[in-house]
Amino acid sequence: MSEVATVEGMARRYSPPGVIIGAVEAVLAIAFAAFVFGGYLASRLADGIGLYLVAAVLTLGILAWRAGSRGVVGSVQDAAVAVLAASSRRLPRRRRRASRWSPRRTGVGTYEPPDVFLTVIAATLVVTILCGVVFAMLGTFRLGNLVRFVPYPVVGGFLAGTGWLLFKGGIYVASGVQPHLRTFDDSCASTELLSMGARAFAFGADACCSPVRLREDSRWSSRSVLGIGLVVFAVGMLVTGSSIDSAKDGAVVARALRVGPAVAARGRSARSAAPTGRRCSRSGRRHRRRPCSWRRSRSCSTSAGPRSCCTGT
Amino acid sequence: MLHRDLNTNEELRDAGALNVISGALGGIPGYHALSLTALAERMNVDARVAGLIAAHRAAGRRWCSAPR
Repeated sequence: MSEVATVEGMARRYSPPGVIIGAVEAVLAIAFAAFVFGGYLASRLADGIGLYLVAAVLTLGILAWRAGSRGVVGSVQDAAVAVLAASSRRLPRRRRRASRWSPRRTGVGTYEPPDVFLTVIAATLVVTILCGVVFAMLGTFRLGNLVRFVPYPVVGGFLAGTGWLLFKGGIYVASGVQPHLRTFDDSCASTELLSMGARAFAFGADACCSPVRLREDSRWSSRSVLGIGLVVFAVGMLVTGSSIDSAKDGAVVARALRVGPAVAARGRSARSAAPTGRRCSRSGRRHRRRPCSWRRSRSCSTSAGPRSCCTGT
Repeated sequence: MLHRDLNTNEELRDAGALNVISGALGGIPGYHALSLTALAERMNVDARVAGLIAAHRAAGRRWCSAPR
C-alpha cells in the first residue's frame, strides 16, 4: 500500500484503467449517439454526441463517487438506446402523417410539424427520468430483492430483443441501409454493401476474439486491443495519405480499398443532395436540372425535359 | 464477480438519483456495468478512483475536443 500512498503512486496505479474505461465509455457514448441520431437526424449528430457524453460523464462520476468501497463501475446502457433508436427511426414517418392529417382534422391551417430532434430528446428525457424514479422507488421501498423472482425466460427474452435491435442498428450504422425482410434480397445483391458488411463483421469479430487470444495476461488484453487499434488507425491514415477531414467523412476505408465511388461518396452525400439529373448525351457527365422554361443549354438539348435545362457542372 | 454481496436497495437508490439527474440534462439511462466492473477488478484497482478518472477522460472528450 506504500506505493498507493503518494499521489504519484496513485496516478501510476489508477490512471491506465481509468483512461481505458473512459475511452471505452466515450466510444460507447459516441456509438450510441450515431445509432440514435443516424439517418434523418444526421445533421444533429454532434449535439447528440455531446448529450450522450455528458450522460457518460455523469454515470461514471456519480456512481464512482457513491460507490465507495463497493467497487462498481457504471456505464450508459444499450438496452434503452436500442428502444430509443427504434422509435426515433419511426418518428419522421409519423410526423409526415401528422402533418398531413392534423390540419384537416383540427381545422388549424398553420399547423407546424414538431421538430424530430427535439421530440427524440424529449422522449429520452422522459425515459431516463422515469427509469430513475422507478429505480429510486424500488430502492426506497426495499424491493431490490424482487429482481430475483423475475423468471429467466423473461430476462432472456428482453436481452434477445435488445440484441436483435442492436444487430439491426449495427448493420445500419455500418452500411447506411436500413435492413428489412422485404428488402433483404436487394440489400444482399449489392456487392458494395456485402464488402462493407464483411469488413464491419471482420472488425467486430476481431475485437471480440482479441481478448480471448490474449487471455494469458488479462491486465494487458484490453489495453493491447485499444492500443493496437489506435496504432493501426494512425498507420492507415499515414499510408493512405488521408486527412482528418476525410476520416470524418467516413470514407477513409472505402477510398483506401477502392470499393467504389458510391460507398466513398456516402459520407459526403449525407450532407449534400444526391445528383438526380440525367446524363448528358454528348459529354456523358451528370448535370443538374434547373427549372428553366424558356432557354435550353446547347450542349444537351436532347436530354433535357421540356421544363428543364441542364447546366454543365 | 466482486466476491462480496452488494446492498441492492442502496445501489438502486444511487442509480435512481443518477438517472434523474442525467435525464434532466437529456442523457440516456445508465447503471452498473458488469463488463467495466470486471475490467477494473481484473486490473486490481479500486473502482472509485478508476471511475472518477474515466469520468474525467470522458469529460475531456466532451469539452476539450467537442465535435463540430
